[in-house]
Amino acid sequence: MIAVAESVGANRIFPAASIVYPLGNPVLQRDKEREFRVSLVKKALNMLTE
Amino acid sequence: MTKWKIVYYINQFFGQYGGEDVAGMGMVVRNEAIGPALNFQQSFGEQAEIVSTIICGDNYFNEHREDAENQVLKILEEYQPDMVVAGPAFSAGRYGVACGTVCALAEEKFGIPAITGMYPENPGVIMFRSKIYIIQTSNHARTMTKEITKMVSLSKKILNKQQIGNAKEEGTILRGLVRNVRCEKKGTTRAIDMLLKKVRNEPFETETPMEKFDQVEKAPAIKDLSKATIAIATDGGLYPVGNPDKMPFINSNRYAPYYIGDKEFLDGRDYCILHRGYDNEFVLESPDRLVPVDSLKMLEKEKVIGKMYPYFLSTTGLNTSLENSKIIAENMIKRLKEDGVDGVILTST
Repeated sequence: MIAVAESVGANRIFPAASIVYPLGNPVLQRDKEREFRVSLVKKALNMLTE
Repeated sequence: MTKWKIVYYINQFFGQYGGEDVAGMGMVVRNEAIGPALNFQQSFGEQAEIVSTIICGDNYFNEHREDAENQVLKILEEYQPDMVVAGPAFSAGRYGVACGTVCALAEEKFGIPAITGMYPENPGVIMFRSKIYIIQTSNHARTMTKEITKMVSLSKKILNKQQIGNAKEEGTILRGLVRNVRCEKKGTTRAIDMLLKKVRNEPFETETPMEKFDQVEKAPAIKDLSKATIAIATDGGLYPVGNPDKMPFINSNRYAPYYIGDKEFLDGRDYCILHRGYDNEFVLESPDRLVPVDSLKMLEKEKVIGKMYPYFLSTTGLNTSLENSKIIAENMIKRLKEDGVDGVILTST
């Protein structure tokens, strides 16, 4: 779906983990998943500073 | 010679009752052609007769939609016209909505063909273009005669059951409908012909016009994240259980804000999803996978960000038209700017 966002002209596009769980990974244990999510969110936040 | 019977809808202004001062007037039925209806009659000629002109205040119609619709239904039932014509509304939004509603009712409830005219940016266009023929007009009533002529021309084709051309040929607003036609040349031949013209810098016409998208300038970077208020928005269709704001499940044109408050994370038992475009199971299990409250709360505590905005903004991004996307975005931005938000993470499924 990133290509769609690009073609429409979005400026800051962060690739999510999956269409069905953008910021997560159900395979991981809850705690590990939360760590993973925080790391993704941090990267997304960094995009806002660029 | 049997004449076609036409019922014509206009507003209080074109009905010569007055301007905004009488926009609240209720529906009136006159058994004669008035204003644009008279122009239409004269342009059409003897084969058609305006059996009645419905005149209604723009405010009345929009503020009492249900009543207005019921009255229109009764009128159509009584007069049994062969066709319904409304407007043209040009760029007048309330009028466009009224004209579109009247025409759509005629088509949907009685199978009576109906046409109107609007400027492409009239809100009535988004709402009704796929349901009825809308002649594309200018944005000012100066061109009334020209628009009526176009409406008459299309009406004659419809009444005589002639083949209706595409939007360009008929001067209508693109309906977004697809119809199979037989062509002289095969698709491959047409494609190569087009390509050769393009390569030779000769003019050619695409068969598939692509939407042109805005070039939106990148918003300036946030200088200091540790002082910034960050909001989460989503088009994944996450709403409190029971969908209290009756958010649409498809082609939404609005969003709703939901209070996060002291929550450290989002509990799947408190929410539902109205979005059939993706498998909802994972997000329902743990809504933070879509709206990362737990992460932003943690980052707020660690002072990586200044503050998490205490609401998340939610809509359903399924079959959302470009126009509706813009409307939703503009409304989200208005709220976020008023509340001093510095940056947004919009999650999408």
